[in-house]
Amino acid sequence: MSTLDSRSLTYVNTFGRRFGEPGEIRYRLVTAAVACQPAPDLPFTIEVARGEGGEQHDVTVRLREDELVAEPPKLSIAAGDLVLWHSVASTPGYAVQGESKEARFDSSLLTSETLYTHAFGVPGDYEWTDAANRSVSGAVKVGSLDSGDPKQCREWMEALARGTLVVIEGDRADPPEVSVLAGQTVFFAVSAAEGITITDARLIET
Amino acid sequence: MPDVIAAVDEGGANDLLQDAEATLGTLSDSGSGSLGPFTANWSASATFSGGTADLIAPNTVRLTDVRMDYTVSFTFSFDLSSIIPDFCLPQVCLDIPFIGRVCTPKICINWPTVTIPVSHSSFVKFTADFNPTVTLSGGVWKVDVVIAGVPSLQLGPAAAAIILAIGAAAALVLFAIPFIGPVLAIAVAAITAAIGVAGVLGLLGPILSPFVAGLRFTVYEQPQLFEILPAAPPDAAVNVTLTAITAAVVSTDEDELVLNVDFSP
Repeated sequence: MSTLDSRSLTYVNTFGRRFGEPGEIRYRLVTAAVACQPAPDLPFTIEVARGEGGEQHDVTVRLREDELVAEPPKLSIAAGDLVLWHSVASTPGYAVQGESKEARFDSSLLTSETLYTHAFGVPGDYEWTDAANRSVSGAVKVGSLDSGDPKQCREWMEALARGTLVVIEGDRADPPEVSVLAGQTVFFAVSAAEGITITDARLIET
Repeated sequence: MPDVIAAVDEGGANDLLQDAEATLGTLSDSGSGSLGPFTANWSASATFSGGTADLIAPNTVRLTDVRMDYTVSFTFSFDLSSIIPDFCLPQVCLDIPFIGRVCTPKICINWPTVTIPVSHSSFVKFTADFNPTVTLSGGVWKVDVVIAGVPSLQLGPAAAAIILAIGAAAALVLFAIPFIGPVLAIAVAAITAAIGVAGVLGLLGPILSPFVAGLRFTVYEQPQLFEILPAAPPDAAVNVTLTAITAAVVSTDEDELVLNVDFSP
């Protein structure tokens, strides 16, 4: 439900990507269950026009008649804009896979100028690592509060609107360790990487 | 005139009671019932000990301060959304140097269905009147004392303790639910308030009362076919058949539980 793993996006996650080059991008939404099956078509499109960019466009992912759909299915943006995918609560874990004439992208392998956010729902210490090749890792300490204390509750509600940023560049996470309160969102922004995941280390321990 | 008359006084009756309680062992049962607005599945066990026998003619054995030790375990499940209000994480915006300003959408939490287990062990003492009853079943005579009415069980303190236990168990279960933090205290309070002491009593009473309502202690047991050994050889052992047994509390110079036995060779 709220597992820290960028390979499977849920409603407590978002995946974002900045599209810097003009052109047409086609993409699909896949679940882990079909990852080993032949890739479906690329039914959704993003038209990237020349422009100055800088805007954010949201795409909602939901399950409709047993199929993952993107709303809107077709998006027109300017080069340099960000597209942010998010889902509603009943949506199964999914990934976004897309391609243009020049390049491909996959939310389950974060590359440069992509973003993964995770709202941490349960207090605890989370060690995360790159499940692909363990090239980078970090930690998130998630604190709790005394929910019976109105003052703490008020402060917490305010804190929920504040995000925490972790920038990943190559094999380095900056800062390598962050502390948040349960319910707060951490933004993992990849400035340079060749395909990493943000995965709770407990999920890949052998 | 019966062939054999056996009698025990109150001291003897107390010894028989202790033995009968030990023989009875642990009683258990399971089922489901209402716990306030919820349905709970439960299992329970009870043992009996102690108590003082008072023989009251013509036909009553009064047992005072019998102790029933019991354990009740139950679980109840419910949709958390029916207890606590919807909760949404607000939109979160952040400036990221190489991407720009990013805002996540508001995330509204779907509260799950939770199952809360609670176990409670305690004891209750009661006083009740019993009647001696004789039965012949499967070739065995049994003299039982059978409870004559259902005594009122004082379960108020237990109910109060169980409400506390429900609160603690609920907090433990709810704590593990993502994003419950700000509404955890509200949720626990809502659950215990919805059930209430009356709700616990409504479950506990029907669970424990049947253990007492059906209480039956066997104080004497004897096969119908009875071998009498010879006083000395060369006489042979002889078998006699116990044809009738009656039991009653009789008052003579003192109160006694009297068994009248008839037999045939």
